[in-house]
Amino acid sequence: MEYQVRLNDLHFKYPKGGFSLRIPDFRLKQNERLFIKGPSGSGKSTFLNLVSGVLKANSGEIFFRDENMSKKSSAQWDLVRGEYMGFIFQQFNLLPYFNALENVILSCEFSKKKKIRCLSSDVDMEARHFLKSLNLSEAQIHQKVSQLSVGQQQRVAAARALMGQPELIIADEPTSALDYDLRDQFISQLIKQCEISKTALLFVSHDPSISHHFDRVVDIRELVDRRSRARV
Amino acid sequence: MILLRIALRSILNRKLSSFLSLVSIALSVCLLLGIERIRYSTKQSFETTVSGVDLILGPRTGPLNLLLYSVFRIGDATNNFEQDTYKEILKSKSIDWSIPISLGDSHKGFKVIGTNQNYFDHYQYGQGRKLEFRAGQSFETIFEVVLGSRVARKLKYKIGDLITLSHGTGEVSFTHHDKFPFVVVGILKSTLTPVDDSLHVNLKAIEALHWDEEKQDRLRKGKIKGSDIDEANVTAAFLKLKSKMDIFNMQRDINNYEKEAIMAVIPGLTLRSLWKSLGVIEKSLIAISFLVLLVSLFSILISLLASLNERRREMAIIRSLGASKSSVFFLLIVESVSLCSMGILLGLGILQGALFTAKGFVESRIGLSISPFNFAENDIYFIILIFIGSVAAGIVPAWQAYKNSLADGLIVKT
Ligand SMILES: Nc1ncnc2c1ncn2[C@@H]1O[C@H](COP(=O)(O)OP(=O)(O)OP(=O)(O)O)[C@@H](O)[C@H]1O
Ligand SMILES: [Mg+2]
Repeated sequence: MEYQVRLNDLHFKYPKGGFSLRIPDFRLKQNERLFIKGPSGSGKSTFLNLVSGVLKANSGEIFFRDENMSKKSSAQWDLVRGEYMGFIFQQFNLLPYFNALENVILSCEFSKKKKIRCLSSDVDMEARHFLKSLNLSEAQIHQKVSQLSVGQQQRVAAARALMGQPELIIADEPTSALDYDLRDQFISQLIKQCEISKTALLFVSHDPSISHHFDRVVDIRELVDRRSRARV
Repeated sequence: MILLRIALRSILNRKLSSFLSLVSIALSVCLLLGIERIRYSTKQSFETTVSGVDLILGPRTGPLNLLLYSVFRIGDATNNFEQDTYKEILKSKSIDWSIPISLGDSHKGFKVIGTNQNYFDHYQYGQGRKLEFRAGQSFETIFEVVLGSRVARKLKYKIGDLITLSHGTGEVSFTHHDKFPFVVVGILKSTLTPVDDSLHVNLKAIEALHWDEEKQDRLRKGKIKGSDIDEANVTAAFLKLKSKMDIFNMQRDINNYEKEAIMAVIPGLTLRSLWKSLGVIEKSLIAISFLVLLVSLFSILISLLASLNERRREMAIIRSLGASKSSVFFLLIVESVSLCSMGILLGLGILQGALFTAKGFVESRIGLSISPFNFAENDIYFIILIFIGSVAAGIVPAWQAYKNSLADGLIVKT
């Protein structure tokens, strides 16, 4: 497997509203950590929804693990998402009625593959391992997530994304709710864990100040086709 | 499985609204099944107020009327028929036994029944249960009386007490038969039928009650022998035939009897048609409880629907973990069904508890026997219906959640 994700002349248009996106060529290498920047409304979240198969392209090809996923059903995408991907969003990543530990374990309950890939003898230990390595204390692990600070919540979300050795972590502005000091700390911890488990990272943010942590930085506007952008 | 866990946690998380939905479902289950149980018990005890009787014989009147005063002892018997007629009918070979009853007298508002030993030997109620004595035994002389259980309890009578009977059935009666006291010789066990509200004396005693004082005096002094007294005219009689095959023939013969206007009704059929005529109440009670159920199901629908907006992110999270779009749909259905199931269980618990506690009270006050721990067939239908209702109540919010989740993808904008 050469590329984790490859898009080939992908075209997408929202059925309602005029926004459309054409990506002539996009490649994310295995184990690559990519920072995608771009102003608000430029289509970054749309792009992530396309890569994770939640939105269906109108035309073009999408490869995941060198497999052509363009014609795959949404049920097949659900499986791929559960088995190979982890997600971190801007805020409120956690189910409010489970504690931190339960939230992390949740990802293994939706995917058998993730459960099998856990390195520790059981999911509970694996989850504790990730929570600990993201500097969460034993007490915080058992706390209701609504009682955790936003920074702590984001680290719980990162731990969940890391569970079960996903091949790709997709993060949509996970740091924008954090203040500056916390951002750097959060990103370095996340990247360190990704390096250990050899996970590719697709990280979207409009904040260029954190881009130095990444292997590669691209602007979404460079990704999309000039001609299509001219029409927007 | 994981969906069920999420659903349960989510229900627990929305404590107040879940609790209210739960209670409303529980109450409607209580109401629906409670009414059904009471209806069932009432019908059961109603239709078996008298059992083992093939025909009821009486003066020609409406069949319901005859049934009402002979079995339920409601209303005043309009008229009697002659002893001679009764004896003539009894000559028929197809009659196994007969219980004559003579009505028209009362004691402190309770009906006095003139009858004979057959009453205690053959009268049946419920599923063929015979009358039993709680104390004493049946009357032998004309000065003895046997009390129904409620009469004894209400008036605090015991064996050996002397009581007087009055003519007419009003509470306050002017012609007290003061000179003619009866001694209590027996008290029956409770039957939860009108027997409990009756006093039983010899048919001859009824006859003697209506003599003038001078004649009664002579009777008391032993100048008139009991065996010389005629039996009073009969108001009605319960007939048991040797063979069920003869019922219709016998009925026809009685209805066509020429010397006196008498008739016979088949109690089972008449009881059932009387019950049917009371059916409007029954149906409206059931209709009301269905409306309550409908409202409870709507309360679940509304509370789920109202929670959906704040739960959009929740749905996106489980989608990002690999849950399918249909899982989002089913999550809501599972929530609705879990809430309903818990409501059903809670409702059943409350109902059984209530019936169990109220059993004694209802039996002694209303005279209705309810059996808390049996599942009637209808109960199961109702529960299945509520279950289907809960799935239906989940469909609207589930569909809405499904649509939201399609529109949101993994990234919720709110
Ligand atoms: N469901 C939708 N239907 C129609 N148009 C949409 C929908 N979602 C987003 N858009 C449009 O697509 C464009 C790109 O939106 P997107 O959310 O991808 O931007 P973004 O780069 O993630 O912005 P931000 O940095 O503010 O998150 C916007 O112009 C938006 O109006
Ligand atoms: Mg965005």
